[in-house]
Amino acid sequence: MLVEMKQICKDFPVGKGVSHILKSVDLSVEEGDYLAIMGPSGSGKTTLMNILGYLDNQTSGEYLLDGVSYEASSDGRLAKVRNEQIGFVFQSFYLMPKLTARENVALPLLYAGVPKKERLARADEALTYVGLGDKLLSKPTTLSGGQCQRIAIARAVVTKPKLLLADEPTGALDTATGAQIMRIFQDLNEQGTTIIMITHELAIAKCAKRIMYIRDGVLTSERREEGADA
Amino acid sequence: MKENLVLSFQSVWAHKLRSFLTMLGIIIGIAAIITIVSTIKGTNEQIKQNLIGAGNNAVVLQVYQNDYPLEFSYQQAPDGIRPVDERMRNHLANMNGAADASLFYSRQYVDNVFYQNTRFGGGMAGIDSHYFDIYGYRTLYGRDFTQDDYDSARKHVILDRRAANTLFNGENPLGRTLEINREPFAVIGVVEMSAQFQPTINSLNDYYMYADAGEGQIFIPDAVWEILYKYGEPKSVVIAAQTTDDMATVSQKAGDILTANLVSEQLRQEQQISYRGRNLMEDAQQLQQIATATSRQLVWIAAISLLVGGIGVMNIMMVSVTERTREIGLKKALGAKRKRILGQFLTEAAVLTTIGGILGVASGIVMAKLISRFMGMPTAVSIPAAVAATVFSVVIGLIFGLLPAVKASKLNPIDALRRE
Repeated sequence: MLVEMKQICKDFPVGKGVSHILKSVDLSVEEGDYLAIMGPSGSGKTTLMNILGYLDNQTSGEYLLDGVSYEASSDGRLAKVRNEQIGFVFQSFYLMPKLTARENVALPLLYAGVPKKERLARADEALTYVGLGDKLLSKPTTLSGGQCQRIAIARAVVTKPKLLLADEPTGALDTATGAQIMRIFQDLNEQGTTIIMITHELAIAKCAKRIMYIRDGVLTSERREEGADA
Repeated sequence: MKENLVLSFQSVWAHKLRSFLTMLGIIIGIAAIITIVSTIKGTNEQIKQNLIGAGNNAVVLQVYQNDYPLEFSYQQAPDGIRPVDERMRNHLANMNGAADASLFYSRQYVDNVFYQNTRFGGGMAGIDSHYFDIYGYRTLYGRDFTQDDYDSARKHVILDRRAANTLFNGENPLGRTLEINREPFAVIGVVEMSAQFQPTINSLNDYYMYADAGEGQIFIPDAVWEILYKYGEPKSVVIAAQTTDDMATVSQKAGDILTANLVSEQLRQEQQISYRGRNLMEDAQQLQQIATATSRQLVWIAAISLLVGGIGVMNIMMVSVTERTREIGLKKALGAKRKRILGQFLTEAAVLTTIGGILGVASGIVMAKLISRFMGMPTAVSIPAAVAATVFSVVIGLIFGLLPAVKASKLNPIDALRRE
């Protein structure tokens, strides 16, 4: 089991009380799986994603990644896990505007301590894979949203992570471009990358192997209210 | 490290005006320090040149008690110091590094010299025939002492230019009679030091030092001195060193020789009496210390400007951290460790202050040049000070960049990413 979450809870202080964002979430994802999580805004899906990606800590519960718990690990250790085992794709790309496409993609390799020559070679390879082999030296500001998101995907997979986390990867894109991104995800999954994707578009979610629903901090496999999130 | 430097330069360049304004405090502080240090150094070099140029490498050896020369105007000479004789003078004059030597008696103040009713308040020396040569005196009017003056202990007196002015106020002094210790002395000549000595007065202490020589100096043959002052006074020795660099060694060696030969063991042990050299290098150093001490306070004031500049850097780095919260969050999500984020912001602060420091050094040098050109003050650019100032500006960046950098490195990636 690549991802194993048991009774994950997350509370946020709100005023004098607490808001329970995640309520005892159980989640198991096998290697090679492709899971879409759907839910309306405020349902806790981004919080779940942050905990999955070690960007945030759960209040209680157990989370094992590839059988290992990193609870109470040092900041440096978590940085290493994020760097080596997880790739992130965000809704608004989060590219560095002053770096070229290949420099953006090479960034995680820099943090992994890969020598410059190899870094750039691997970045070029990843960019070619997402179909941007001709935009290696372009800066994000000169590219379209779809191209930017493809750079972001190249950056997420350049370290060959086991788990790809995508938070509304098509949220800022039109339908046609979104479909393009989904084809890349499909292909990555076929090559063995496990993907967990958050979306609120059913059409996008249907690209995944299975869909789970989150509502008010509760994760379930069944859709409780047909059409509520469409 | 290289990545950090490149990023830092990009970031500084991206906000040119802001960076420049932030650097301004550092630039002004460093420039002020460089200007002040250059002025100190220039003054000090001028003091050294003035004193050494004036003295013709003269090394004076006097009888010292503890660390102070004995002044026979008001102090008794202790018994047990044997007189310096011609044989000893010869020996000293032929020492390694020495060119000539002269023996003389001297008083810094005399109270028994009159011209009519005017009392002379300057110094007096009883000299031998080598004295004027060593100090570089030349005869302005009249003549020098002859061998006969020395041999027959003639009551003749020579004035330096200043003494002639104070006593005779422009009248011709030649042939007039001075009364020294109630004995009449005929004025036979007026001399002047040929090296022009322009005193640099930077403080009250300097003023007192030069004011001592205010009324000038009069000279009589040493043989006459022995008649005027009946007890035997130890003579002082002045040695002309061959070069300025020889002065210190000549002074040391001659002092040792004189003390060993002339001062009894008992006197040395019990009263700390010795012959010691006092060269003009030491005088120069004393004056330089005064000038340096005065200006050092100015450096402290300039340092406050650096402190203010450093706080400005800290402030702008805090703003920069806030502005780039998302970038920091993203980097953390991609696996950047705390150390790397810390390093990035520290480097950026250091780059900012280093550029400021270099600009400050450059403008300090320009300021120093302008000061010497338009205000006539001597300045000399000190390379070690320029290097130290640059290094110091790097340190300022590291110190004042630390707080913002730590803040950045401790940002929670999720908080950082959430900010849209």
